[in-house]
Amino acid sequence: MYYLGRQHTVWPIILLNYNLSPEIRFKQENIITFGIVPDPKKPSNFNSFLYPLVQQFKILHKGVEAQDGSQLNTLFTLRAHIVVIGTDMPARDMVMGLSGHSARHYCNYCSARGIYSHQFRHMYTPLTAPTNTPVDPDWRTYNPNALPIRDHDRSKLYAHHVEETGDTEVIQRTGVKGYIPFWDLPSIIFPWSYGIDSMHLFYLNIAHYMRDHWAGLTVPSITANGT
Amino acid sequence: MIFPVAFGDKPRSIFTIKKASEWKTWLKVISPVVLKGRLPEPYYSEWINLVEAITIATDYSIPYDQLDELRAKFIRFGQHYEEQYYRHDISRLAACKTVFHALFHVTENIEWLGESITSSENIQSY
Repeated sequence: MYYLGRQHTVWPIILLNYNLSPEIRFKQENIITFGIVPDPKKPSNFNSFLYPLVQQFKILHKGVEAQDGSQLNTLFTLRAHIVVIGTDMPARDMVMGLSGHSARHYCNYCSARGIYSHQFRHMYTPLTAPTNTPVDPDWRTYNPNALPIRDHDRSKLYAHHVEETGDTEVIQRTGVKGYIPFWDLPSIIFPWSYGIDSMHLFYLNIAHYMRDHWAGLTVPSITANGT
Repeated sequence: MIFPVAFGDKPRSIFTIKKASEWKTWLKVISPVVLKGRLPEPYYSEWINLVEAITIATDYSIPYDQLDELRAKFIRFGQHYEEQYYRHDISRLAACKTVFHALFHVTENIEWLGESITSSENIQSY
């Protein structure tokens, strides 16, 4: 399943059948358009667009009676499950029910905590703290081989808790912003069912930002020569 | 530089590139040649390490036993970014983009889902 957001305009909700081979699964005739989130702004209640989708898949999870076109007299139980959810980067925070890119816990996959630059109003999650500014004493160094991956069950508890109480302390401490309909589907594993959009990450972000670093276009400007 | 038509659009300056496909060509094909001798060491070698990692991570298949090598490459670049771009300096931290952290999660994402299965590149023509 895919959300394709372009500059917060129209977001199609489409279903891809991964039982089909890669050669044909992305062809237009094999893509099911479930719905379209309309213009002009990003939706204020995105969950309301996901709700009917999840209701349908709850039924398909149990199975429905269906007929095989080649065997007209026999019925079989048809099941379908959402296992992978693909979105581009701006949509992913919303689809996962997370606070997003400017939050202290902006990472969608782990609970590593960011450090905030007040001067430039910018959040970033380094592995080690800056040496030239005081940081919270409970901020700890991260091992890139063992990052604190978000736990499925605990994240679901946070989501329930935040939805019921609006507890801003938990929102800030975890980055979990609210309950999403996808929590009701047992086929979805948080956070790994929500795949990385490698096109945006590698090409539109990493390549672009490295160009900016080398050309001194970042704010503040830091170049490869260390000025 | 000879640039076969089959590689995609005619390359243009990295200051006017807009499309993801142009960045892809620049990253995988052009940058290793153009930056050699222009980008000083160790920046060039570390960039090549990342280009190799991205090339593996966006291939159509990957042997399971190559995942450790892939993970090591992304972590190596992450540590390079930490040491040379951020330098534990709060004023430089602000220039570090949030998405660089995501490189640490690419390999595990591949372990769970397979390569680039959720790349929007797959459905660009939709």
